[in-house]
Amino acid sequence: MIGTRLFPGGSGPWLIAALFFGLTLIGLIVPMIVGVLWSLVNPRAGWFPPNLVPPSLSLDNWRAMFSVPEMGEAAVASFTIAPLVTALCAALALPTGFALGRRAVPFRRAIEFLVLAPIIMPGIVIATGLGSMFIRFGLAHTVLGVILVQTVVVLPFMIRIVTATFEAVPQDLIDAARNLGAGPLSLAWRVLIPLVVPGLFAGGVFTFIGSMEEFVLTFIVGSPHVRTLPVLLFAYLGGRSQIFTYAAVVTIVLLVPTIALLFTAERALKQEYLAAGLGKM
Amino acid sequence: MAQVELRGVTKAYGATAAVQDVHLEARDGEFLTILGPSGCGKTTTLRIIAGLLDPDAGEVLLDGQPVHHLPAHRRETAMVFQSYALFPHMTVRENVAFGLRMRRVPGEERLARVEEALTMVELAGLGDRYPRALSGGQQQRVAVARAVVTRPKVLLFDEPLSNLDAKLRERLRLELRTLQQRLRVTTIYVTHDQAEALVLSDRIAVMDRGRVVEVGLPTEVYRRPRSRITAEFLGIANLIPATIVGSRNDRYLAETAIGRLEVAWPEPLARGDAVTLSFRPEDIRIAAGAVNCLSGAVQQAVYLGSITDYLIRVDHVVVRVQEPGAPSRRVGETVSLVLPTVPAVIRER
Amino acid sequence: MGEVLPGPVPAVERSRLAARRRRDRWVDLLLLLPGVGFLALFLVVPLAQVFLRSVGLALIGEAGHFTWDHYRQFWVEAQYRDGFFFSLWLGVASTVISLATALTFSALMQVRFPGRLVVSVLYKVPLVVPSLVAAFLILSLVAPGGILARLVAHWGWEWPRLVYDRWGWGIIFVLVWHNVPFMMVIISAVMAGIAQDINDAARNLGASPWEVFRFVTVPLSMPGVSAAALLVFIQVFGAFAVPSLMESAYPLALPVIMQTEMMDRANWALASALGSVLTIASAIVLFAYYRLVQGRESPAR
Repeated sequence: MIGTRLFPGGSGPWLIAALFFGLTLIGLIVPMIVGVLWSLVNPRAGWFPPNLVPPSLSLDNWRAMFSVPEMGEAAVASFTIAPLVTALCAALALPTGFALGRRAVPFRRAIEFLVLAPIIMPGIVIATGLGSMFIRFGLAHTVLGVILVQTVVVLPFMIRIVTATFEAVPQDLIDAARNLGAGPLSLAWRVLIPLVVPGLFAGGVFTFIGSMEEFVLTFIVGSPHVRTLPVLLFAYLGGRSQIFTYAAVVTIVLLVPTIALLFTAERALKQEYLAAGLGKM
Repeated sequence: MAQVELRGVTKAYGATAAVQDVHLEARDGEFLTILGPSGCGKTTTLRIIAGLLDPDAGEVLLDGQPVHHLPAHRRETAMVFQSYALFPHMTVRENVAFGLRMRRVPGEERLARVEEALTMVELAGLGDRYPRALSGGQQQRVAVARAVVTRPKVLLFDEPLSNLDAKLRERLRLELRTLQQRLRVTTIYVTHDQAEALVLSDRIAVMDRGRVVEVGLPTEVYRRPRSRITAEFLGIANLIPATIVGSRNDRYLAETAIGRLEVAWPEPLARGDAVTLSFRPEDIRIAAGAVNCLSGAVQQAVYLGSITDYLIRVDHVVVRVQEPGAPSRRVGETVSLVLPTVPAVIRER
Repeated sequence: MGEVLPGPVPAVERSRLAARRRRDRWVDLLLLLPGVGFLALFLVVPLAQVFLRSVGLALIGEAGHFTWDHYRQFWVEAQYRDGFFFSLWLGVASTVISLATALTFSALMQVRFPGRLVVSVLYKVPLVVPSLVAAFLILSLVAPGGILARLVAHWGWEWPRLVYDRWGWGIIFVLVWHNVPFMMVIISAVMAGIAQDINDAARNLGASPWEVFRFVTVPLSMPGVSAAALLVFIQVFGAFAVPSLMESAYPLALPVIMQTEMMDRANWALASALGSVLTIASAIVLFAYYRLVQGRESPAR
């Protein structure tokens, strides 16, 4: 703690609390409430200035989730693509993370830089290359194409977290297991895998959320045929006429699972994993 | 030069009391050591003096003035931390200069004082190094230089030598003592190492479970401990419960589990007093004698180089005896012991 | 000198060792293949494609002839040049504002205050909020006709124009909202790693809370701070979604121009040239970062 005595009279901690809770209220709670209100606006009455609350509420916009095909399709696309991307990332990252974390691999610096590249490269540049490439391969506007492009940008987080987790396994534990007679297979199955499950879980949370939220590459490679929730949200917000009501519904459908995941997996988002995924360059 | 006083200082962490009603005084220019096992509250006491912790109750006085309203950075104390707490992003010189910079000491004087301090701890010439490039002993000296350069009213040491190996610890111990005597600055030194406390201190305060058990000169607390805790913590003690049953020729007679012993003690004792007798192992001789002579069987003999450490069984009590030189008795041998007539008498069982 | 020197390794033993080493190499390659191979195929190849296309060639598809025309076009036509500088401005402004805010907040988060645990969870929420959603939430708040505009209109005041403006303040606001928590996560982790003794020592030596922050906390947080700043800058510099929704008619951010060239005009060559410019500019910043970090840390390490 920097100071129990930062401020005289012990009011300091209360001032800090007030500041943070005030900011959370204005920056987080109020916008969320406004978002929910927008999703409940009665389309026949609208919500125009100067009204501070909608004049009448209805569930019409929520019914649109099922009656407007594009919304239902986007939700289905998002919720199928994200688990597939997560599974693909886990499968690709586990062996590579093991090699990077525990073996003296050749060209380590170059490989680490390659893994870092998608994190620090502007997504739009990757999208430019992949877009023109996928058009040739017939992968543009397909679900497979979208899965592949999303994997490019979220895989690095998975590899970095898994690598860090493998690195953190104490050599003593491995030596002890071998000394007690564990062969390579039982070593992997009974010692290594259980020890890296938390890291894999954290990486999975990252990947899932990353995939749910990915926009630029999905937009350029997938649309107009494959549209996920963020792509649809962009359409509702960026078009000639903004459709705030539908945008609000899409926002909530998108946010509820990710925020729920954040809270249930708070442990997974512990700072060491976040730091492994993002911090150290 | 200053005098520090604690009055009824209490500090709890949750339900556990770290420090309970501590009264303590460090006189002007004195080297006072707070000695105790880990978790006894000695570091907490030190941090309260420095203002790094606020006491729940009680007062800290510096030269008779209460200082509890002063935040840590306004108290004229300087602390040497167990971890040294050197700033890793600053060179040795910048580390030592930090306190002077915070006190807005002008550049030229600052440089001169930093060099002086570095010379004093024999680190002149290493000023441009980073702490990481120094050995443990050198880092420790930087921490000392950083503390004394501000000319604090009180120097505080929190187990400053505990991270060093034994040889170095012994040498730095003497250096610290010399430094303190030269600067004549009031010093409070926290340690769990009894040898350190005996070598360094003008007075020793023994702490246990958040309380100050006793305060006294090193010879006093070693030769005449007033509590079992002190007797056991400073050196090795054979503690033998006894009951005073009478007196003969200026000596008291004490009934114990190993027989009736004659005890000389300057303070009056009454018949029926329940006490504990504390015998130091080096005071017991393996020999025949007229007074306080017992017989026992050697149970263990351990050669420690300069001395031999014996465990000798007398009835159901095991007595620890130390004699200079190599073992001269074999295990199982029956020997006679002479206990001194001047043990410490502790008025508790 | 009674040491026994190791004798020469017998030939059989040596060849067995070499075989084992060769096998290990193959195991390494096999293990690396999934991750590295995937990235090589879907990252390195497309990037090569971008660079080749920007000069009129192609790795995949028919190759034209070599030309610098697309780069010339970028530099000659004001809309592209201005787009570049607009993106640069967004990157610098968002990074500076986010950094100052995140540093202050992270330091405050180190203090024990009531409700700290709740705040430490809540402040991470924007991490999982897509930037498009952030744009929507903030739009509904600060846009003309948004809730705040309606609120102040009740009191007879006029709401300032914060979105669709020349300097992109609305965009910067959304990006700061989105990036401050991200920076806080990294910076708080580094700050929490500073030993308590170091802070105590500084205070004991006479440093006021502000001086502790200035001379100890900030310098020791530099590794995290610089990494966070770099990531945020590069992300914002190449940001497409938020500028696309909230910018004025002119200038357009460079990624927005790229998207238009690609999807509306199918002008992949120009888009590739602009993408290369974006990449090269980011690479220069990255290079400067590594120089800076190494210059700072080598004496201390």
